[in-house]
Amino acid sequence: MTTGKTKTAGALAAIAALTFIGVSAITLAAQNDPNAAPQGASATADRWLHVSVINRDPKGDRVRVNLPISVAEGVLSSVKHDRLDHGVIKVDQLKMDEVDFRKLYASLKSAKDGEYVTVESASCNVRVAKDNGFFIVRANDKSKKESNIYVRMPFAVVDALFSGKPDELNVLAALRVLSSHGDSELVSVKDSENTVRVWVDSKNSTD
Amino acid sequence: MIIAKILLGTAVLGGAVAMQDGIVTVNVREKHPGGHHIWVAAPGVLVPLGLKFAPRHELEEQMRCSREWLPVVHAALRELQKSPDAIFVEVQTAREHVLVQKSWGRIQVDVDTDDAEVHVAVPLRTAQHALAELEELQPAS
Repeated sequence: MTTGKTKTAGALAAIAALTFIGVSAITLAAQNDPNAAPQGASATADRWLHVSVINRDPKGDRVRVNLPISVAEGVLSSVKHDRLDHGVIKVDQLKMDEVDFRKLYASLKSAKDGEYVTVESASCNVRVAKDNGFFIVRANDKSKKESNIYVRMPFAVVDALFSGKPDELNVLAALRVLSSHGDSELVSVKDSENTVRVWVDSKNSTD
Repeated sequence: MIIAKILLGTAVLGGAVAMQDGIVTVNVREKHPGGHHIWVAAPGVLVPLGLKFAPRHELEEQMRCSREWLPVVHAALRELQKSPDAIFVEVQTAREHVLVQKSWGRIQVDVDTDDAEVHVAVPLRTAQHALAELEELQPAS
C-alpha cells in the first residue's frame, strides 16, 4: 500500500516537474518575443491613422483602414523606390498652373488668421483659410447634389512636409509631426454616394 | 517507468520548442457543392526549416526580384510586432468581406466571398524567421 502511494506520488512529482519544465520553456520563448512586453505601452503611446470610406447605402461598400503611424513611419523610412527615398518624395516642381505652392504657403503662414482665398464660380466654391494653427480648405461641387470637401491640416505638418529641398516633400517628417499632434480630423469628403474620412487619434479602431 | 518519464519529458520539451513560434494555419473552404475544404496547421518553426529544403535556385531567383523590398517587409514586421492587436484593413462589399488584422502576435487574413472562404494566420515571429532565412540567400551586394 505504502509502495503504491509512493509510486503515485513519484509519478505526480515527475509530471509536475515536466509540466514546470514545459511551461518554463514556453514562458522563456514568450519573454524572448519582442511582441510580449511593449504591447501595453505601445497601445497607449501609439497614434493611429484612420481612413474610412463608407457608402451611404446600408448595403453598400465599406472600407476601413487603421494603421499605427509608427508602422507607416517604419515602412516609409525603409523604402527606396523610384521617387520615394526613405520617406522623402522627389517632385520636379511644386507648381501647378504656374502657382508656386511653397510661396503661397509661406505667405499664408505668415498672415493672420482668416479666410484668404475664396473662389465662387458656377461649378464650385473653394475657400482657403488659416485658423488657429490649421490650414483649412473647404470646397463644394455645385454640379452635384451633395459634394463637400473639407481638409484641416496643422501648419506644423505642412512645415515638416516642406522641410526638405525645394523639389522634395518630406512625408516621413510630416508623419512624425502628425503623430505628436492631438486627435484631429484631416480630411472629410462627402457626396451623395460616399463619405470619406481621414483622421488621427490614439484608438486602434474606427468607431 | 524512468523511460516513460524521459519520453514524456522529451515530448513536453519538444512540443514547447516546436510551438515557440506559434502555429501557422491555412483554412480554405470552397462553397460550391462538392467543394474542397483544406485545413493545415503547422508549427511556425517548420517554415524557416522548410525553406532550407526548398529548391535553392528557385528561391534565389525570387529573392533577386524582391530584394529591394526586403528592408520594407523587415521594417513592417518589426513595427507590427510592437503594435497592439487591431484590425488594420476591413473591406466589406456586397459579395466579399476581407479582414487583415493582428491577433495574438499573428497576422491574420480572412477572406469571405460568394465562392470561397480563406483564412490564413501566420505568427509574426515565424514571418521574421522566414525572412531572415530568405535574406541569407541574397548575394552580397
